[in-house]
Amino acid sequence: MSEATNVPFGPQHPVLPEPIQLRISLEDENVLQALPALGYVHRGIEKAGELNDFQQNVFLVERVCGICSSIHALAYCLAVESAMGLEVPKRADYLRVVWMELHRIHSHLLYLGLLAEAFGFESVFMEFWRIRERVMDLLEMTAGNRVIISVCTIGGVRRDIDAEQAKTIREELPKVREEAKRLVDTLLGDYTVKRRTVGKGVIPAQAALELGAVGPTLRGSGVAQDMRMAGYAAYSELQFRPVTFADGDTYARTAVRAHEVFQSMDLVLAALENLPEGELAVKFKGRPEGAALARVEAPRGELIYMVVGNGTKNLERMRVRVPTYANIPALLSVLPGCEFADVPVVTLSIDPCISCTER
Amino acid sequence: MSELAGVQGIERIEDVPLEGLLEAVRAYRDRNARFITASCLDRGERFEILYLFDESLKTVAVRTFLPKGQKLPSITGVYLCGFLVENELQDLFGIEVEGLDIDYRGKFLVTNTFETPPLLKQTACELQGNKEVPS
Repeated sequence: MSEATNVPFGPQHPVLPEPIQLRISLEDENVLQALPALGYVHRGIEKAGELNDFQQNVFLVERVCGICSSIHALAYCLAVESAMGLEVPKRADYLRVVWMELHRIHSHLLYLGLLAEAFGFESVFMEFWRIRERVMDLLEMTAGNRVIISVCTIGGVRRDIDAEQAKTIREELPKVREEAKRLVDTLLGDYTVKRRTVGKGVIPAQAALELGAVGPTLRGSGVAQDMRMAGYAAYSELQFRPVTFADGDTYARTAVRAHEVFQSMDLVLAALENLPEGELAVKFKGRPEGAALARVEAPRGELIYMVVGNGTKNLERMRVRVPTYANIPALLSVLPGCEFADVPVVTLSIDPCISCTER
Repeated sequence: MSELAGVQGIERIEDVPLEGLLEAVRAYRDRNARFITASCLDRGERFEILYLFDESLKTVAVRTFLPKGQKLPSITGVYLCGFLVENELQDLFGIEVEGLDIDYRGKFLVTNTFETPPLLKQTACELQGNKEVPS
């Protein structure tokens, strides 16, 4: 038996846009063990959440992540609204769905592009990112910004989508869908892609549950669990059904995200179709007292905010549990036994967001 | 400082003594509950720790109180995935977790530059929040 070789995978690596290290032990080309090293860019945002005014925290939590920033704001607002007993206007609930699903579309398109790049399919990578820009344009048109859109506020939303903007979205999304479908068919049907993803990094359903996996990582193992099923915002009125694939491998996790792109487009269009008239936000007085927890479905999975208020401007505690954090144990469980050449693609298949993880 | 009377969004909170923690957590695993995370609050003389689980999209919790200076038993023998949050408890609250399967010894997220664990209430930081937020 040959001696184990230790290889640091990261913190700087072409498939990792953000710093995390996997300390990998190899025997020849086979992975024996992988351990994570975090903390390279930890920002102490939970502590900062205790130091800011609870209303200013909305802007703080949006900066936890540059991809799902608005979903962080939504989860935080839901938790504070729950602690304060606020009822959000219906129109705000529907508008929240529109923006959250646009975020999910661009996040999944980003993932699909990165995955293609990870095994050298650069033209597909660029094509995915090209059509992603059109979704970013919709965000900019409706919110005035591409990434940190600051639409959520405690009690509702800060901006509206007018009839002209809704028309533009209704016209643009079918075009994006058509182009995305062509690319998804290319990616998921390609012989080389299948060779690199089918049967790689298999997480059985029971293991995924025991290891606390969430989001497309869990649904790619056949477990139909998605926090949108709980019906927050307007999801309870939009007939949401989770996308699942049973095989639990890198291909299945990718297929879940690809299909969720189209599902999110349907949700955006349904939310716009049923957008009720009314106020954008409820006015409130007072400060949060007591504790509340909100669970929402971010693109990478279940995102949790727990707030503990004490009747002052400052929260006593703001707890954030991000999806990548929950998916790391599942990743570590599947790397042993993989070939070293598959580590980048399998790692990428949980769509790791280190910005979230290093909140 | 008083303990939480309840948490909106958590269906049920089961209070257990420290010595009954692992048994309570094991009961959740036997029911196929998914471990979500743990959350800790600094309550002065002790810590209030909530272990959150998912049962068919409902959130349920086990709560225990840990007097400061005592060791917290690790749940990694029941839910291995708990090693991340338990290392975080060591780093951010200075809690010593006993029996942790993968132990970073208080250097998982933080470096040697921290004199006191950052999420302890005694770790002084300037309170912000005097500015009005534009509506």
